[in-house]
Amino acid sequence: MKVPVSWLRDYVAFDLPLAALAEKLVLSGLEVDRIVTRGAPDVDGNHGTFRIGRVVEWARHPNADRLRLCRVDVGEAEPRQIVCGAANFDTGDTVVVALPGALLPGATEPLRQAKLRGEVSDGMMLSERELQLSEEHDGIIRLPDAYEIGSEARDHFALAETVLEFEVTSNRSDLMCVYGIAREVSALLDVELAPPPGALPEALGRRPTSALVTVSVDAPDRCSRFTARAFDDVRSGGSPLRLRQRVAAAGMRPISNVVDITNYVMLGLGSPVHAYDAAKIPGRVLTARLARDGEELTTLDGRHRVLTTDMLVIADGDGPNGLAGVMGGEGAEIGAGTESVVIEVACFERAGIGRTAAALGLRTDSANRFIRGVDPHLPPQASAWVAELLVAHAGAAMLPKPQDVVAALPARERVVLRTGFAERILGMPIGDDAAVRILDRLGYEPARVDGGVETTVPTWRQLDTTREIDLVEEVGRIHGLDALPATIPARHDRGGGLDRAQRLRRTAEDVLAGAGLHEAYTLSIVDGDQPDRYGLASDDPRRAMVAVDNPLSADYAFMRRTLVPGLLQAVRRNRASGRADVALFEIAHLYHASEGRVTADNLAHEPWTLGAVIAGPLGGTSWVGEGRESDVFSARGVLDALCGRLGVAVRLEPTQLAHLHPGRAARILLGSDAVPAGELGELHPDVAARFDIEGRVAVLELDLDLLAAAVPDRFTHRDISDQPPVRQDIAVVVANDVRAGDVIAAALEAGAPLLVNAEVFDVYRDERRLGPGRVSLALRLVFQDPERTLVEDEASAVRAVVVQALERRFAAELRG
Amino acid sequence: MADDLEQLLRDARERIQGASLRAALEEARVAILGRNAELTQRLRGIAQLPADQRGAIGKRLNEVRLQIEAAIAEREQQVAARELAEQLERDRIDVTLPGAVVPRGGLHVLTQTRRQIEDIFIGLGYQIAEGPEIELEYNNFTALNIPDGHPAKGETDTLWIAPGVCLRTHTSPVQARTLRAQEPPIYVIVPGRVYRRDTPDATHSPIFHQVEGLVVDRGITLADLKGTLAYFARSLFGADRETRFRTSFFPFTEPSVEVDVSCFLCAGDGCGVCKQSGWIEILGAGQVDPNVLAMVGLDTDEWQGFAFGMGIERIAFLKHGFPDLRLLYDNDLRFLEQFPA
Repeated sequence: MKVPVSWLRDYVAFDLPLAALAEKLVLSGLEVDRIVTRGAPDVDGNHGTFRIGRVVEWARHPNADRLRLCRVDVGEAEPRQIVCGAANFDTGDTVVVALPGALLPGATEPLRQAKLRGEVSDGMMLSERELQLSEEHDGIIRLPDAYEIGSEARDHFALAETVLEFEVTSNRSDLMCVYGIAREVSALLDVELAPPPGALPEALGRRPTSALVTVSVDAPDRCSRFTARAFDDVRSGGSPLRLRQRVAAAGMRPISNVVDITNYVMLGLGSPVHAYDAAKIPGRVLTARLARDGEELTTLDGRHRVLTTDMLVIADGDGPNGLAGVMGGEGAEIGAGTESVVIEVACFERAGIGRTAAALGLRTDSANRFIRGVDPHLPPQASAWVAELLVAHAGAAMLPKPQDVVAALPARERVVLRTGFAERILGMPIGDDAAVRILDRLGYEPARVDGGVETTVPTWRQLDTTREIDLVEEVGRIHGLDALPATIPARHDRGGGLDRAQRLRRTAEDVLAGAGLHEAYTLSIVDGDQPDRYGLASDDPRRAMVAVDNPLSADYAFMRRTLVPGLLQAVRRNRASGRADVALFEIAHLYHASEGRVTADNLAHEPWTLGAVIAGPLGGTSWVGEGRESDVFSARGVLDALCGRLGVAVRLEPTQLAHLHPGRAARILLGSDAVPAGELGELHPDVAARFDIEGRVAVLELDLDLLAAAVPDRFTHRDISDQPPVRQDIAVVVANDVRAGDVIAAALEAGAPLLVNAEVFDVYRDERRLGPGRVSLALRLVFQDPERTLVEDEASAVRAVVVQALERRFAAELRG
Repeated sequence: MADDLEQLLRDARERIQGASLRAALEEARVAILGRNAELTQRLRGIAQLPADQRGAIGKRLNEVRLQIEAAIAEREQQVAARELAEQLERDRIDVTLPGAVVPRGGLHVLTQTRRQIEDIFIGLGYQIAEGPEIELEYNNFTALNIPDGHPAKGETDTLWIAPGVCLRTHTSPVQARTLRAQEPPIYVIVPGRVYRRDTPDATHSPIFHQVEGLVVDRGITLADLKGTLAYFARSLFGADRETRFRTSFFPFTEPSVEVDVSCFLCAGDGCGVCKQSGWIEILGAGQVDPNVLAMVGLDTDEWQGFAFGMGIERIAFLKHGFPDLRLLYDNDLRFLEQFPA
């Protein structure tokens, strides 16, 4: 909403600097985007150099076909010679002249006497655009002859106009007009507000309004009010400069006196107005009704539109004449030949206008106001103002008996504001007097009652302030929120902080980052091809993704069931920029629903999930040496670091998954219950190729909710033994399908309780020495008795038991 | 005899001093104190001496041996020190060369920002509440006093999953869930991922992150909101920051405010980030609308509350100044590594 300050001053007087006023408005809820000054700079008497002049005579420039050589009387002893490029004037026309020395809008240097194609030009005749009055530049400004020659232009119109550009929140339909903003200013500064503009002229016409039009409403739920006035003897032409100037400054294009007046009234009072050429209303009827399927209409913007049955039209005897509240039709457009005019001021239902405007992509100034909601009491006032202006500026004669089809207007609600309640909500003192004063300025007609104020909600606020709490905001914002103290509520009832799952999740983030992985954020809405790209088996449950009903595009159509493909995409991007080592993780939700189906009764399961990928040497390379190339054990190492940090036992079970390397993939089993919680492995080379990633790619995906559940509730203290441990190493040769994890578990079982730890420290394959399909596992055994010092012989005895057990269970042979 | 012994001592000292390597010193020791050395022989011969000479000569010989042993020990220290010095000199290396590979990971700048925000409110005694991203229309809109027909509910702004189910457009539905699940007093913040039907560009993303705050307790005022958010802004942006409230409009709060913090880049003088105003908008907030409290059966004369919501991306942008929202989701390590902590 753009408001010329001179227009604002028509309704409210203030001498506060504009910047200070703007700040008050901003804090009270009316965002000021910009303060823009248009027109000639008002400095050093510059405005005195713009004069009213009269063209005494003109002739073609001897050296230029397109220029005119003019003599212009500006009230001095002799007329000045001025060279002019315009062709829209004649001898005797009254014009605006900038004298040499004048600083024109946007100019950095003052105007000088100059020679144009050999002829002296001692000033300049101006167009509206040159003065930034409007965008009009088809010719110079021609003024009424009544303007005194030689007088200063600023006596007749504003040479500069400052415009406040507001952004109005969606609840404040009343601020979509100059008068509404003036009301805010009046309340904020506690100064008088002028009565609303518009004094109905005397009806003079020879015939009643019904001779030109009869209005009716067929869709009362979409049109609560439809008023019409008719005018004869309309002299179509340009509107007065001041009116054009304000319409342009408010951001609309001046067109003609009738159209400019309708826009001016809409900008001033907030009620959209539409003008019809009365001669172009077939049947002399205008009816607000829903369009019939397939009806067509050419709107004022020249576009041909096919209508649907949800669109409200204003129909004449032949069919749709205009799109109600959105845009008129070309058929009844005001033109140079228009003699009689019908003025419609109506109220249309908000959501309906919204749907129509959205369907047609037509967010007009009128539609914008109806979508926010127009005060149904406003049309008669707006109609009267239009009439006043048409009589004054278009010579119109208003016909008697205007029409007003109106449904029952909503009852005006009465609301009591308890001042104490307001103070309790706001946390600052207000007082009854201030509450009454503020609500009075805003039009609430307040009356003091016991403990507070009884108000009547203004008709222009009935969508917005109907409750006591709304009045609290009104009083608070006008009183000034800058006066609020700053306090912090004291909380005594219970503790705060992260809960267990949140704390463990943070630990997981830290472990992963500490292990050398960077955290990534990838998009949780994915395309439908992702399961294929990732190579998931046809029966993999992760293929059943929850679909978005109205996706923005096919790229953002499904809720993901795995984090890994997004991370692989990020690996591709980093590899493309030349980065060899890319290790990423993400902790985010996945969206599980059986068969991808979600209903209001059965929302998705959204487990917190960890995904990780490691490609290339972790940590990069250095002259000292390289980071370890990624393979399945990179993922395993990260998993062990995480589970070890959280005190969760983890076991792997080799598995086959279509998207992973068939010989290097495992399911992750957590805790003593061996809960399946995820998978790790190396990416299948076919999948890696689809993501343009070379080399082995380690991947890990783990359900963090299950991991958190496997973390022991508490870690209790165990005594630390001072007794020295005894270490002994053995190497056993087993078939290479024997799993190291099983060997370790069997050793620990057989060696308990003195065998306290067993680890694989070397794996050795040599077909010649060990035989085909055999592998040597070197184990380090640690023996300890918490109570006393073990001697080697005791340890050796237990070792023999362990070896026996391994021989029995795995047909292991002790080596060397 | 005595002169003879003095000569032996002198020779021994000379030889010891002349040994500059550990091996040479050891050789000297064997030559001077070894089994066949003259001194050893003489010591051994004491027993054959006449009784009256044994005491004096024996004492003198032992003194000489001790002096020699001390000289060897001293020389050993000197040699060891020199050899160590030479070893260290050989070890000399350009210590400005890069170190061994220790993989460096890191937390995403959004996680860092989220944690910072969380920690400030945790310090004030808040808990963290969470809720699903695929959410009921009721929780996302209706329970928050957003009427049917509100533009935000339309096909153009909201991503829908099924009838009555959408991707939450803000973290505010967790307000409704928390109010139903928990008796007041309630002090929670809600970090989380939210969705809008926006085409990705420099300033829009279909996916972004918010932190919601909700307090419901007896006697909660707008002044409490102001104090809390002023504390938050100072904790996050520096102790000198001022906070101001501008009246605004949100369906689920009344009064509603937008909260500005004095610009921490230009200290209020005006710059590009604050658009020359000296103030930067950081979040929206307000007193919980009585309709929202009444919907969960709370007596609005007894219980009041405030709520606020901010974008994590926006806060991160204000702190770090990256030019394009999409950088946050590209996961280019050249970007991620710019924000190590």
